[in-house]
Amino acid sequence: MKLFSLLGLLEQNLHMAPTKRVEILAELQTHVDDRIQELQSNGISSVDAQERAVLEVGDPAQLAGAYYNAHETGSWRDVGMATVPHLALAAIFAFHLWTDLLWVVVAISAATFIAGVAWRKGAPQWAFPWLGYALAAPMLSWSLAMVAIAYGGWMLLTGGDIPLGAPLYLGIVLYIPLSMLLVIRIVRKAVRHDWLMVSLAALPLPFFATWMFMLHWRQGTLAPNKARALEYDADTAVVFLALAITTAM
Amino acid sequence: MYQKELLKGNTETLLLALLVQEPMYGYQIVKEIEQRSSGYFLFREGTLYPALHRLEKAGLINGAWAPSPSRQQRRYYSVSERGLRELRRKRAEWRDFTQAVNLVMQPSR
Repeated sequence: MKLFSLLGLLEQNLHMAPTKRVEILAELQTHVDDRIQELQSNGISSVDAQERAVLEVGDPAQLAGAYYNAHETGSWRDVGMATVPHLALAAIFAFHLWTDLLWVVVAISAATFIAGVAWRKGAPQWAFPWLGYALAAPMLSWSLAMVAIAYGGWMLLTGGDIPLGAPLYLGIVLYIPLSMLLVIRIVRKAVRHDWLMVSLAALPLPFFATWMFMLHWRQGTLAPNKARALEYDADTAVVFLALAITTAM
Repeated sequence: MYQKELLKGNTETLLLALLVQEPMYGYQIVKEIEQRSSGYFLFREGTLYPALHRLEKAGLINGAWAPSPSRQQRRYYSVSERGLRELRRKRAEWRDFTQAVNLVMQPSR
């Protein structure tokens, strides 16, 4: 096997961030180059030296597995950081805090800030649940925005006034495609980084969507039927608690 | 097999003990360990680099690219403050262990 084939096979099996992958491959290449040089200085031909040096590295898939275990095994701190957002959501539902806009804004801002900081520091695995919640906010807001657009459109057609006024209505219309573009860009970057973790980060989305659907169905979102809207909070809190336990395991 | 298990359990201690003396890169570590142990320890890439990366992730060593004496870029590893503390702890642990093993193994009078 040639050196480039070995590095290619190793690269295929290294399921981690591209920056880490590049660094691992560069380091291993310098190691094999040093070994080839040493063998050649001992009188071995260039072809034989390369073949032997590559053979000594061993099975690329096994080596990739060893690298993966070294990099991706989480510490207790990582486990804690990964479970905090799920626990926070469980608390928000358990204590009915979502009905207070201030708490919602604080939670979304915290998730976005922590996900951003973690991303800049190399995107450790614990950052992905935070990223999931940070992206859940715009995704869920689209459904509300679409309800508002449809309602406004209906009012226009039936000759009534646009609710919330024309500038705000136009802002909502523009908000959907612009925020979608931003979310798609972030998701594409994250998928390139670690697609498996992105799929795990997206886990809360179906629960959120179901919760919103139930809320709307029970007339909790737009109608002032607060008592009925709170009926699902205990169940939803349990779901996020379960997500925290699953993540920790 | 026994020798392999012994090395597996002590790879990280050996690396810390070596790197505490001076920063080194992977290939240099392999050669240094081989030389110091008179050929007893032969580190392979599959053992060495994952162990170095594990130590780095744990904050016990720091890795950085720097030019080697031959002016080629190499990833040098050096022991961090936390690594120093860990090495002290591991050395004490090893001393106690070998003492106990020697006491058991020496022929009874």
